[in-house]
Amino acid sequence: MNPACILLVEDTELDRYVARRVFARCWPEATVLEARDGIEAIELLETEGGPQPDLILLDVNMPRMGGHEFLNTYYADSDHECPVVMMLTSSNREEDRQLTEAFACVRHYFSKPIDRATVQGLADWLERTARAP
Amino acid sequence: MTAHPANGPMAMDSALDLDELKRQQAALQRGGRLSRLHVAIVAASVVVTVLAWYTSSTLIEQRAEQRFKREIGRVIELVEERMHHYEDALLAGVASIQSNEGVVSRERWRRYADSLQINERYPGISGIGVIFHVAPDEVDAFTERAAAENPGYAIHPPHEFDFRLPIAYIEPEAPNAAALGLDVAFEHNRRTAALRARRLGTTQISGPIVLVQDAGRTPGFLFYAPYYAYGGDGTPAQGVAPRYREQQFRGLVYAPLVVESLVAGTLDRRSRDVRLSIRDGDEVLYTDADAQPDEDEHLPYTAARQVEMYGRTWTFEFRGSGSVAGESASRQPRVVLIGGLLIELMLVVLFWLMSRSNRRMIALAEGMTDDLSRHARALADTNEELRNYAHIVSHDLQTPIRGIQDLAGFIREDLGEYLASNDAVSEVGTNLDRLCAQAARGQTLITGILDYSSVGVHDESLSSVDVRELVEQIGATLDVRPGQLVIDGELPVFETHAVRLGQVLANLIGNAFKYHPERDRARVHVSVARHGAFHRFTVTDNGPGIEPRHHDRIFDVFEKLQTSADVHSSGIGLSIVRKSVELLGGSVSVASAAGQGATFRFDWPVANVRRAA
Repeated sequence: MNPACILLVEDTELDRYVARRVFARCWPEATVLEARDGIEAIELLETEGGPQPDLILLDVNMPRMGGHEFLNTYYADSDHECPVVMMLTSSNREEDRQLTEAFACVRHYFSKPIDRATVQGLADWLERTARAP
Repeated sequence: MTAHPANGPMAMDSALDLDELKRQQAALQRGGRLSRLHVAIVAASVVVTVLAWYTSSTLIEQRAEQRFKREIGRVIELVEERMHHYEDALLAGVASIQSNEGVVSRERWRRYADSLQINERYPGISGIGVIFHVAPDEVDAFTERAAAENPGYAIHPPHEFDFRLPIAYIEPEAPNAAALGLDVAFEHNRRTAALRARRLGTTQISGPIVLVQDAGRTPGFLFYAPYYAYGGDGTPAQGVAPRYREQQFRGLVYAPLVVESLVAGTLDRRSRDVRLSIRDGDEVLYTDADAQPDEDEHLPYTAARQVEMYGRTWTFEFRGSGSVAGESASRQPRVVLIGGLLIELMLVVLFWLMSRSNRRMIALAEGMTDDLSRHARALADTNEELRNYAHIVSHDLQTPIRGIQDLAGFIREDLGEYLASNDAVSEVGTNLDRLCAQAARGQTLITGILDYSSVGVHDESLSSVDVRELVEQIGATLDVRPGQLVIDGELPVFETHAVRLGQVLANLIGNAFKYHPERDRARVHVSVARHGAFHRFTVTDNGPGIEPRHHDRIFDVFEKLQTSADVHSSGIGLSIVRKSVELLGGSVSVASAAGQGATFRFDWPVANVRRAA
């Protein structure tokens, strides 16, 4: 599988561990960067010569700055190019989806926790889109 | 977590009911006041009372007057009758003298008087006597003859007229001794009556006099019956020409009477309801002795009757109450009036009490309604809170359970080599399996709670549902073989909450297959019949059945009769069925016995009521 840079924004330690482990098993070529909330994620992205993630896995509910706020703060009305964003949620709530309708980069919603099938699917999908252009 | 839409069914329903209650209360309050109707009833009652009083008093007055008049007639009749009775005695005396050819002696007169039995048969007259007409030239001879019978007899008193009318005999003698020898011509009233009797040949009475023998000096009179000598042709003198009668006049049979005795013997005061006084001209003959002047004021009826009485004109004066003595008939109208007014007063009090208690009840009901609405609101709030609570709790529980599942999976992964080796303690693998199973079970239960608590929460639009299509879809989802799901009869197409009806049917049909011991032999029948405002759905299976003692429990949350190892059975399906059906105003029931399959029925509204929206 191709190497890729993935930013995981997730406040729950267990969920980060699960994601890290699943990626390590299923997609060891991927680099997984971790942030505990929106503010940490922004700090990470704004670091000089910092990473340019191919994919952001973004939790909806987080302390300090949640997923939607992060998108609004960092990508709305700014020059930052929005990479592909996958929202992580513990619910399938309609309201959450409506909040991100404005962001074309938000491609999908996943129910936590991330499992092997999801990671496999992500890898395949990224490979396809990378090959397509 | 955001809260769910705030208006649950409870809040909406109670608000509607409260409006209706308020309207009814207002109507009751209007009815609770003293209305015009009450006033009209009291007024009508007053009118009736006054009418009854007026009628009764008029009637009683008329009756009293009639009774008074009757009584007057009776009194006069009795007096006249008594006078006729006395006249008979006098005429009998005349007859007795005539039968002896005009000869009368002291002894004969006494016998006659004894035979009359005056005291017993003629109460009221003092005696009966004979007056002789004596010409001036016969005075000495008469006196001599009389003195022979009555020693010391003398004619008295002297007077200016040339004829004498001395009382020759009087019986009984003793009480009338003073009258013996009295010349009745001495005094005007006695004389004129005697001469009138002589002239007319009929019984006459004198004007008022005081009898010489009456020690009480009360008014009295003399009753005269003239007798005559027989003419040459033998005809009696009575009835002949007056001139001839004067020639033939021999004397008078007479009776002295005290008016008081006459009245006492005739009209017992106690048997009389009127007061009586009798006048002859201006002279009072009789007045009821016990009459009180002030009593007259209570005796509203008065009457005077003039009665011709043997040559005199007596005036009877009456005064009476019109009522029978001792009877209180005259109080009747007043009793009617007072009684009627009392009833009216009671009516007013009754109406007042009724309206007061009405007002109190309304106030109480108002208070209760307010309480109820408060409680209803509180209940709705609590329900909403509980729903949110269930949602939040189950949601938050999901995260750790998923974590447990994941971690158990990681452990299994990491211990893969060890578990496969011969050194492995077999329980480690088994317990890991159990851990996963328990976590999966917790997951299922939480999903069930979420499903249950979200029934009726979200507004659900109506759409046209072809029930046959719906059932067939469910069958396809359950992957049943042809013939296992049988539709009996026609199934309706109607507009309703499609998703929810599908959920209910899927639960019932799904259960029938899920709990069948041999799924391949399961057979489920579905039919629908119209039942009033509802479609009655019937789902019948040939499964193991349910013992009647469990029928009440199966619809409760998490009640599962089978201890199934199936972790995907939450035990919440029938609870969701019941909640969905009841939210729409229907009901669900089960008929079953162990080993005989089960039949579930539920009523689903035909009209698209949005009660639970």
